[in-house]
Amino acid sequence: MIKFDNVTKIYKSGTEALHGVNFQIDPGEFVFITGKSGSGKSTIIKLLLREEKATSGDIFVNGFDLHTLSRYDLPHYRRRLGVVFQDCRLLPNKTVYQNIEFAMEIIGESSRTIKQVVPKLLSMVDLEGKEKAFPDELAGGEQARVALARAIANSPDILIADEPTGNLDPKTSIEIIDLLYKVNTLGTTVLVVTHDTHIVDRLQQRVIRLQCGDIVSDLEGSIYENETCKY
Amino acid sequence: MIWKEVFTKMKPVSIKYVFVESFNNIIRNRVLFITSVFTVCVTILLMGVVGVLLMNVSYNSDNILDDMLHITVYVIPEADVATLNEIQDYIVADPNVEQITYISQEEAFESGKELVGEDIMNELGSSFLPASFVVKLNDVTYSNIFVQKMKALSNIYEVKYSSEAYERAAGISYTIRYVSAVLTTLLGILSLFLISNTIKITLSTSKDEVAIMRYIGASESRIKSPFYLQGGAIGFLGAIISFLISGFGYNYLYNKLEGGLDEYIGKLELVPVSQMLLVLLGVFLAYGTILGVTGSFFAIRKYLKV
Repeated sequence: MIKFDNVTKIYKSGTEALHGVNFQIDPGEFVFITGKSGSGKSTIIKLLLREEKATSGDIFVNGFDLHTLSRYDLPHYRRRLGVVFQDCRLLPNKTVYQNIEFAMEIIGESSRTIKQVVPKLLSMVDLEGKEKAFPDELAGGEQARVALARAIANSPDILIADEPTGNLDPKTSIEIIDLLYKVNTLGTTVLVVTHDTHIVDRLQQRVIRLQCGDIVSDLEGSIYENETCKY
Repeated sequence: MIWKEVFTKMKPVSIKYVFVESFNNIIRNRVLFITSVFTVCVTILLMGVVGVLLMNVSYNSDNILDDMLHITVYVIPEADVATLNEIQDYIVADPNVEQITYISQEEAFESGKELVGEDIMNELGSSFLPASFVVKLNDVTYSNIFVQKMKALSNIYEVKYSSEAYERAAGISYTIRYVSAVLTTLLGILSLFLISNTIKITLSTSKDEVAIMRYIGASESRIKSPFYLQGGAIGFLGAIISFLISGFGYNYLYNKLEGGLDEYIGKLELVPVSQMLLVLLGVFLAYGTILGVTGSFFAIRKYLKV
């Protein structure tokens, strides 16, 4: 479960990114967070990854209080999350297989488990036969699939996708969002931050809409709504 | 508590992982690595040259100082055997006395002949020089007290102790050690800076991996340990290479100079090769490795945010 309780974030520069934001996401939900640039979407991701701390208010994720989370407990917390970034952040000097293997290796999975799991993940994201390819040999959609496979390699409770279709054409975007939905149906909570109207409208799931640091709507089965920042 | 549940799933960092990652980092930044090893090697080598010189100076100054620890107690020429025995017993009873040698008037007379010539000594007469006790103390700081004790005795003609020369020699030895400490510290700081800089560059080339490791939840030790090992490896390899160079160099010089030194510098002698190599190996390895790991520590603390 993710709970934002009256969360405000003001950066050192004085920029107020979030103003008293409240929302709760239950286990197994699929939620879109939408909004224009500067609406506070990225700040929510940074707060969830504990790259930043809230200026005021409380954030609880799967029993962890992110305000009081110690440096020592931070890796334990992050192991419960999977993250997909817009730029995929694949390691260019590693193959597709090695990129996924790396994610499992660094949390101490045995090579036996890795050998069993990686092929299954590649099959799930339709990348069989691409094990030995390097990221720069892959199309944008394929890179996004590798990033997704890597994000779910350690069976996270929550999958956070930050603009996962930002660099993709509409057809590939739909393929990726269908994969995210597939992951969600397997029990993982999925949180997608996007301003891609197509994918929001296609799935018609819960949509939390941000505008200039405020939640302006939080609706189930919603579609994308355009807005203009009042500030 | 959830954290407890997760904690039980945490696995310790495997040694294989740390070595493989360090090796990969080294290969990726091999030119930089080799440059750093070379620089550390030169630094340790410089230190080694200074160290070898100092060890030899110290080795010889110890011998010279050792000689200076002798105190000569001259007995009045009229002293009979009973008096001499009494004085000898008094000296031997002192726990700070390590060695005592009696030099009779006849022996002193013979030595005098060698020093100033037979004619002069014959003119002066065989009883001109007094009998004496040459005393070696086991604690140099006790010298002045011992001298005062001897002077306070009756039947003592003179007590000779080259305290000034000893203090001057001890001062030189202290200065050499002080200069070496300053030099070693300065070279150490330079090496630290170089290693730290190498690790900093490695960190910047590995920033993508580190970012992914952070997001996936790799533990701090898992993220940091390969960089520590890399720093340690730079120091260790630098130390090994400089040991080999200085070891072979010293062995060569020793063989060249051994026997030849007497001819030129009198009683000076070199520290034996085996003794020198043992010291160099221990000091270089410890110094290099500690330097490497410390250099990594500074870079990691400053540039790696986990």
